[in-house]
Amino acid sequence: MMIRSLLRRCLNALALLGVISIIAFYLSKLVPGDEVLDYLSLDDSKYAASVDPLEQRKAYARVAKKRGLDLPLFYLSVLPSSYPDSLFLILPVSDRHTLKKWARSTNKKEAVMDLYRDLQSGLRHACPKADTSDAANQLCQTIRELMNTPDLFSAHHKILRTYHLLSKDSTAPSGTMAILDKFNHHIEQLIRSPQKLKAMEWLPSFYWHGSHNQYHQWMAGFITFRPLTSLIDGRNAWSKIFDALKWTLLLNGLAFILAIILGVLIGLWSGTYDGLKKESVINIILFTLFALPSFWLATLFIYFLSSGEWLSIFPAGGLGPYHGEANFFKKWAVLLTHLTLPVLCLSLGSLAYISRQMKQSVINQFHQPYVLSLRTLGVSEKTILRKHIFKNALFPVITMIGGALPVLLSGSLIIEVIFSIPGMGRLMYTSLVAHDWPVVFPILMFGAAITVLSYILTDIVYKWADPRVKSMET
Amino acid sequence: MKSLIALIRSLPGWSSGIGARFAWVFIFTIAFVAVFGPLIANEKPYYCKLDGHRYFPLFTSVSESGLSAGHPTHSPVNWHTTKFESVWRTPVPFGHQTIDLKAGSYISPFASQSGSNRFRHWLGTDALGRDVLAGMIRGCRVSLLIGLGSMLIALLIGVPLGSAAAWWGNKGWRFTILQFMILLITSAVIFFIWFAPITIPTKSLISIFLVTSVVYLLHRTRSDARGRIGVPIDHIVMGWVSIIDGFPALFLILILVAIVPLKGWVVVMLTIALLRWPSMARYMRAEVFKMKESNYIKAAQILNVPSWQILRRHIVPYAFRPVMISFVFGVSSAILAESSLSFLGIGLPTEEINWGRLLAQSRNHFDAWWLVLFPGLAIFFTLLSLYTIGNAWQKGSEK
Amino acid sequence: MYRKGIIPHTIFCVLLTAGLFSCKNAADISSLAVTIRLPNEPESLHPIFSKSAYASPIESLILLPIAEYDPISLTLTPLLITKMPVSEMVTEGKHTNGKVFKLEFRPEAEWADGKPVTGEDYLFTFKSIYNPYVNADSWKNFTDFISEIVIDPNDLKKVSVYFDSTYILDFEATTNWNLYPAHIYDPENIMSKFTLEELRASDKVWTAEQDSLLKRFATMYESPAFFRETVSGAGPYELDEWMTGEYIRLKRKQNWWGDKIENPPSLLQAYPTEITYRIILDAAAAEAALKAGEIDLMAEVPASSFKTLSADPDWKDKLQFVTPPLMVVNYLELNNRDSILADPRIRKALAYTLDYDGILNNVMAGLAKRTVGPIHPDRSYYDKELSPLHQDLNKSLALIKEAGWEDTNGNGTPDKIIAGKREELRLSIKLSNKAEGLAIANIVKENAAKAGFDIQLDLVDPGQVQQDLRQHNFQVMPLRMAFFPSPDDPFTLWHSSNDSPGGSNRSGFHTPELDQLIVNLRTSTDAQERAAGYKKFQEIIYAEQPVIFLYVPLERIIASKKIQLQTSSRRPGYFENLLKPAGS
Repeated sequence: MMIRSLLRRCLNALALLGVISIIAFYLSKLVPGDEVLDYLSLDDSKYAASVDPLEQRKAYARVAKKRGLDLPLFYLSVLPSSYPDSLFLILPVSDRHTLKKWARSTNKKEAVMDLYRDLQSGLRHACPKADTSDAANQLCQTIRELMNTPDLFSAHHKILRTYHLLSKDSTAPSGTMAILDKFNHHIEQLIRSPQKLKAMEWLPSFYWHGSHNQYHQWMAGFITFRPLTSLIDGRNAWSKIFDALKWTLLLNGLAFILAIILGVLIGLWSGTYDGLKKESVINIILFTLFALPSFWLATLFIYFLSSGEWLSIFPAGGLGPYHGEANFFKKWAVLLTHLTLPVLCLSLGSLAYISRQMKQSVINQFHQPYVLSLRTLGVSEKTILRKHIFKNALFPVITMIGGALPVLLSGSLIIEVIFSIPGMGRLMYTSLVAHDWPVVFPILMFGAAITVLSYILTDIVYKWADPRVKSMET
Repeated sequence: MKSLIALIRSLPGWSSGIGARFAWVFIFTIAFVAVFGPLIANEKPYYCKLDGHRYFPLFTSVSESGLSAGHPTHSPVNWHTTKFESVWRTPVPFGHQTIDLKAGSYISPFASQSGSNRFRHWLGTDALGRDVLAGMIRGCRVSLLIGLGSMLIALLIGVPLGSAAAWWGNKGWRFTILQFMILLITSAVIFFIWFAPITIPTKSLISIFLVTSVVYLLHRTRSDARGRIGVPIDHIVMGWVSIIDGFPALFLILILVAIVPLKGWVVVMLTIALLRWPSMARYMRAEVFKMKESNYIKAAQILNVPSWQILRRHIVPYAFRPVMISFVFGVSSAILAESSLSFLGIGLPTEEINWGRLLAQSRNHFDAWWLVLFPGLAIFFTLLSLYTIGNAWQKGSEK
Repeated sequence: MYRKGIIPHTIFCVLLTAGLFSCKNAADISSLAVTIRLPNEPESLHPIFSKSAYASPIESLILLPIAEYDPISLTLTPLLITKMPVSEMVTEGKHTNGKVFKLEFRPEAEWADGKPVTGEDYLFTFKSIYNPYVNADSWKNFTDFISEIVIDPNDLKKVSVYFDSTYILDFEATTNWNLYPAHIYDPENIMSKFTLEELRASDKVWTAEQDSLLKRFATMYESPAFFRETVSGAGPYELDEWMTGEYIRLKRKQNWWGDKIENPPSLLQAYPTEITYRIILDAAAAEAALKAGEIDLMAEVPASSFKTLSADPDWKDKLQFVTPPLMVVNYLELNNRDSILADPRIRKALAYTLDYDGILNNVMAGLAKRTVGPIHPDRSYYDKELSPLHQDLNKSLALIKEAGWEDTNGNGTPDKIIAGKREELRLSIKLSNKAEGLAIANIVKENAAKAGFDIQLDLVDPGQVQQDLRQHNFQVMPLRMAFFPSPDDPFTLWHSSNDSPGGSNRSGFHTPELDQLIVNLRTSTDAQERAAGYKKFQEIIYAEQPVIFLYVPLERIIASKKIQLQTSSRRPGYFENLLKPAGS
């Protein structure tokens, strides 16, 4: 019975992860900007004395192929039937936009593709090598402009104008005029007599791509832990992630442990002394701590304790030169001085919360009948507290803590940014801003997987640990 | 007057102690400042008189250049330096965007400042020479707007979905085969319409028309007989809840800010709403589940009271209270999230300034304690007040 | 026994100690380890592929360029070659009427493993760029003008480089790049199987075997091994350790060939025995590290903290503050194609609204210089007669009125009918999240509002900014232009042929007169003619204000007083190899 429901839960979890990955993938593709162009970044004006369009396109095609961007996006694609079939093979991506416009306005996809192919071969013919004529240069520029002109009429206009210009130029090589003629012919064909759509063409066309699509390639690579290279610096994305993960685990782990230990102890103490003056003072302090924004606390800490305005006993950030220390203890000493402030900032908020929960739970326990019976039996207050109340009160708090497990691995972005700790939160943020998808997606999927897993785990633990449920099963 | 006092007494938590009262007073002050911000801190005066002409620059669109064009002898006109015949200024004579380059940036409140006391920067200036007090006043508006706005939207989405999920469960909502076919066919038609070669406005019109006609048809063809095909609402809603829970929030916020062509803060507000409605829905769902088992609801069902009426009259108003408590806590966490985001520089347009932004500027200039203290106190007290109110409400409702 | 030998003993001891002391003061390199802050971690130390600006100084210490601009004199000085080549006309052979440069590598120059630097390495570096699978397009555009490279068969250290057509940057193309050791970067000797001609032929069809060899080389060349681990060259330093995210450490070579050179140029001198680049992204954390003594030098200090710290008496004796002028200029790029900005009166009106001194003081804490045009103030041909603009709102208002703009609909902003439609005097500044640009944009917005301009700030993704800049999809954009020590060539930014979609003339400003001037500047070699040409160029730009020049920033460097440094206006403003211990 348990196994069946467990299996069902696991399947649900997998489906959930799949949906999340699809949504994240799709969102990442919608981000504006062309990643290949950014990578090539041929904006360096020193070298841009002559930017050869043909070389640019070749470089673009090369980089895009290496990154697998010449595949369709997903298993299935639905396109209006007026669009050409192999749109996903067209690189650079800006050309697709032009072709779509042409196809939409004329409904003649084959003719559009013919024109495109001829434009490409014209580029190969005309674009400069070290010693080309002005005419060829002119033709090259015109072709490049044509690729960026979605409006066919103005494209036609451009071709006629170039034709005019070059027919007067006697140095133009023979092929140039023939090429322009061909373009002219194509465009005139396209512009005249726009085709009417047949009935079937009102429906979109469905294309099935099998496993040859970007999403599948990415997912397959991810699941099999294939080496992924970061787009910013070419390093292995996995090593980047694991490097950051260990710092996040250290930081959050320490904060977690501190918060739990202190929170439980304070909560226990509060619960027992509830109502007394000293307890209400502590209560107010904890409440205030809970409301304190952690980044304000961090800035205050830095200002008062490390910037030198008041005191300078803590370092302001980073992890310190712990590499230089050979001694194990010295290493940890350096690390710990650097981590004290961040750990404090992280733990104070959760500490307040945990102690309140614990206090509530302890008070609940005090109201339970078994406490009264134990008291009448003469068991000392201390033993009651230690042996019974503590354990019973801890139980709901533990389950609540289990739900906080995902936070452990996702890192706290603000604290990491303020204290310059190279953890997961900061890695995710910098990679996201730089559109470094090979790093972002694994982090995302891990986070999602851990969240889903933690839900399943807490459910299981709850069911298993709660003796009532257990006895019902048997 | 009496009704006003009664209204104040009825505020949740008002009677439970002085802390809660202070909290409410603080929240009302912030709300007041948020609404009337531009009238309290502005570069333009309420009224000015120049060469015998009367102007109300704050309420009309009279600009400095307009006055310069109209009064060439005083050109260039500057709200602070031009000698008007008579002028009434706002209490804080700086707008949140006014850059006072003469005074300079990072001026401490205690430093000797050039200019008269009327134009003193009581809380100092920030990195660009903008007045911190004006920035704090503006920050009230942004924080409250995003905090309240996002939670209201989350409420609007979460409450209906949560109650629907709990009420109809997985088997409650049934369609007859006829209705199902209508639904299927119209969805297919709408799908195909979007790929047809017609302009976008026409497509939207047709889709809207189809959707309304479907709703009407479904309404007309409903029957009392038990339909064959069920819609597992609970599963769908809880499925969406799980998806959103598992989605990393930072990713969603950053990506949506980059993709969606709306203004940055609108996107932040909508994203926070998107990330928060699941918790609202879960609360509502839990409450409705509890109430579903109660006797009088069962009685109402036996009496054949239609579902909508039961929900509207009996369940939702009473389930509201615990949801409202979580609403209050949600507003505080939304304000915290929004401050954190603007601290990192995400979401807020460049001209806007808010508490998180002011705090962020202190990082480059550590001795600007006024940039750390005042915005931080503002955020802290807002959160504290909200928590106090929420706490007091919770304690009150537990009794 | 002791008595007898005590005097010789003492004399001996005294001599010994004296000898020891003098040995300490001997002229060999005293051990100096410096730690420098690096604001961003470079992706690689492979000059052909690295994109980060922080990589090139480090690369040049390891993979020495053939010739480089001297940091002090700003002229191209020969490093790996004996002297700068002189261009000679070719009178016979394939390249008649072209030019040839003859290079000779220094006889002492050798790689880290002792093998000599030869023309083979020169040829190899070239061939590696032209491998069809290697992505080195920015270098290719530069080197495309070289027609042929011939190694002297009798002396491998002599190379002749031929140019068929005139190219203004021919010196740079021949010598100003990092030289790679062929035997280290191509251990399997793949590229020697191909000639440069066939690699550059655009329609060459490769056999399957050749193709796989080429691919193999490209994959190895562009692999992380050469990015981060095996970085080796003829320079004074070698890569000791690179701890990702933490630091990069270079160690001085022990018996470096450059030590034997008499009167070495600045870039062949190397004093520190160890250079560690600590990667600290956050400026505030870097400052704290500087104060704590964890780093010795920090550049790119934020202007406001530089000012505060330099005024702080506590730090005056421990830190030194230097401000060399950078070879960059900050300006507002205006899209002259826009209907509002096409009118020079509006552009000038905008220029007159800005409180330039306020911007300087606010954004750069006063650490900058005014400039009037696209020529750096330190150049010899900078036109000193043109005075920088100052804020004059009355002039702005008058210009706006003269251009026909008036507030007819009472909304506070002037408007005008352009091409049949009523347009408001509304402009949008497009920018990304960088702090300097944001500050400038905010101030511009506020200043211009006083004359009636209604300016909106449009904050977009940095990738989007680049795209919009390329496609000329903007109205106003705050940018920074970099200068190079080579003579200014206004062609890329101001010639009409570059005013096309995706072209480099971003402002869209060009006149026939300016075109002619630019062409003259490219080809003329007469110094007086060039000076007159540059003067006219600056006058035209000043009169038309196609873009608004703001300031030339000063670099802000803080260093510990334990070292002495020499500053330069070349990036990064300091030179690691020239750092010496204080007082030496």
